[in-house]
Amino acid sequence: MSCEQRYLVDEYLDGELGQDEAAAFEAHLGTCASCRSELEAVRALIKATGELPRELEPERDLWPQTAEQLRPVEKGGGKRRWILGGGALAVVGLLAALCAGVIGVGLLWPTDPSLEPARALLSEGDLPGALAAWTELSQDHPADAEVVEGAAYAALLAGDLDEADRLLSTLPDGPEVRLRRAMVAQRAGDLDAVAEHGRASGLPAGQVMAAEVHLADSEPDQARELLRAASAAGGSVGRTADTYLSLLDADDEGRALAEATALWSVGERALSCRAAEDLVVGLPDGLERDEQLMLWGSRCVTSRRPDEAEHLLDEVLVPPPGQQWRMHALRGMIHAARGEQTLALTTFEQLEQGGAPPQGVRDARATAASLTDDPEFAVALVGDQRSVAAARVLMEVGAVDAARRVVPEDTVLASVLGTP
Amino acid sequence: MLALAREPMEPLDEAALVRRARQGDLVAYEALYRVHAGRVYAVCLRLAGDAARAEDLTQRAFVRAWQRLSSFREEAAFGTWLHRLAVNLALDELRAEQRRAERTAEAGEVYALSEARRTGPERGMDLERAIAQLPDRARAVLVLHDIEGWKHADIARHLGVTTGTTKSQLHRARRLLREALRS
Repeated sequence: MSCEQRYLVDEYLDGELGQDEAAAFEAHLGTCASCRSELEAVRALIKATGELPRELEPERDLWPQTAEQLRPVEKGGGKRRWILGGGALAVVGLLAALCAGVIGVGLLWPTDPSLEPARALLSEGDLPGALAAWTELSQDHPADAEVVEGAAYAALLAGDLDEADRLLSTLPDGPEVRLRRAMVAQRAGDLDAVAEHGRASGLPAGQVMAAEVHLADSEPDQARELLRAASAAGGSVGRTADTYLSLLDADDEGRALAEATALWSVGERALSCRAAEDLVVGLPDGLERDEQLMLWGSRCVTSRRPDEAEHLLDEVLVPPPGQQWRMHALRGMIHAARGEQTLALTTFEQLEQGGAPPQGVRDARATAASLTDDPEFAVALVGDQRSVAAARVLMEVGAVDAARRVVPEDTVLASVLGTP
Repeated sequence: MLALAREPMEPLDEAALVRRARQGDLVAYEALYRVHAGRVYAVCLRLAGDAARAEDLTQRAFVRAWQRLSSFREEAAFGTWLHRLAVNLALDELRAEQRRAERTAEAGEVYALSEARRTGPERGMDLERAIAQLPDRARAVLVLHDIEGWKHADIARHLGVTTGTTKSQLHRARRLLREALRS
């Protein structure tokens, strides 16, 4: 006769029961012969399986046949030169480098302490508040370049791109103004203006932006000229230019990957993902291939293309060291983008239990929440984290009450949203 | 020959072997193969439940590892990395086979296929044979948990299921094993 608690035997022996559950089950064992006998049987089985040899010799020597399949290691030249020379890592860093470039530009923005309150509104994500504050300042001080630049920046972040360009065009022409106009044009999707202002800026970041437009338009020669100029300046933007140049000089696949990357940078995300998918899958096996697969998988899912993302992730053979959790976080986002609520939530819960970096999982949850239009699902995805990013995502799907609950206290966004 | 090659003729500096193999030194790579083949083959055999497939998986694991050596930088962890790679290959194959079976095969064909596998050459041990005869998913969970020492969370992630599923599969696998061993 079997006891209905016998199903706990496995978890008890595997140490999967909590302290209280284990104690309760031990008490039960004292009174239940059936469970005691089950316990002994399972314990004996676990012992026997654990004692099986960890090594077994194949019945024949597999080496000769294996050796026949090993091609000589390629040294330099051809496809592997750019893919193995750390080039791919640099490509992974492209977006980051560009972001750094943009942040660098951001640091050039006003530093006058009297502008601090308006800057704080910006940095804490209260875009309407920031835009209002900066617009008022710029109306009071129309000749103050710092103020006009700040107002343009706030307009850029708030999405009022026409206003941002109008403000910038009132300033005396110069390299930095041109670079900012290129950034605004990129946000607005006006690629001709990106190329024009980027080139005219004469600054490396502007040259790379202009080159990306030419690459996206399949004009590699014009892109090369700009990239060589940017490369000469060195720094992180110079390295970005170098990576593009090495891709362009490699082979057809390299050129195609450069174009796909440029398409992503100029905001043509759907086109970019479509262009990259087969290319990346077709790369030679290696760590770099897995990194590229994860990079483009991430890009596909964040542009709401979960099927392509899944295809790319399925191709990953071994996630790069320390990146296993990121694979699963991306799968969680894929589930979220498809509206597979239980799967998405379970994935993130498992990541949390499995020791993934907590901040990484929180960010992944917020990103996943930005991929759904269902407010309740978004709230569940965000979980119990408190961050400005999560609050902004929730505001975007219209879950304002929930946004109030997750916005950290003592932020401007909290004071704008009010308390729950 | 196998026994000879496995005898340590000099202290084995695995990191140095990995570096030499990365330069294209086949002799060094054969030395690495001799050290690790038994472990890789064992996990492939137990996951695949079939010697012919385990041989194929073992070869593929070593071919893949060779192709990827140029990008592999943690020489000291070669064995762990190789083992992981082999497990991934074997699990991919199990998944692919399940998809094929679900998609194309009629019930009778599936039966015929799995019977063919189960009568393949096996080690003489009852326990090994009983493990080989477990259903694929339950076998994978048991091998990874009870033999390879993986945690439920890791297994669940690799199989794309929840830990609730891996726990119930482990329970099922152990129950089936005990029944098989009793009969």
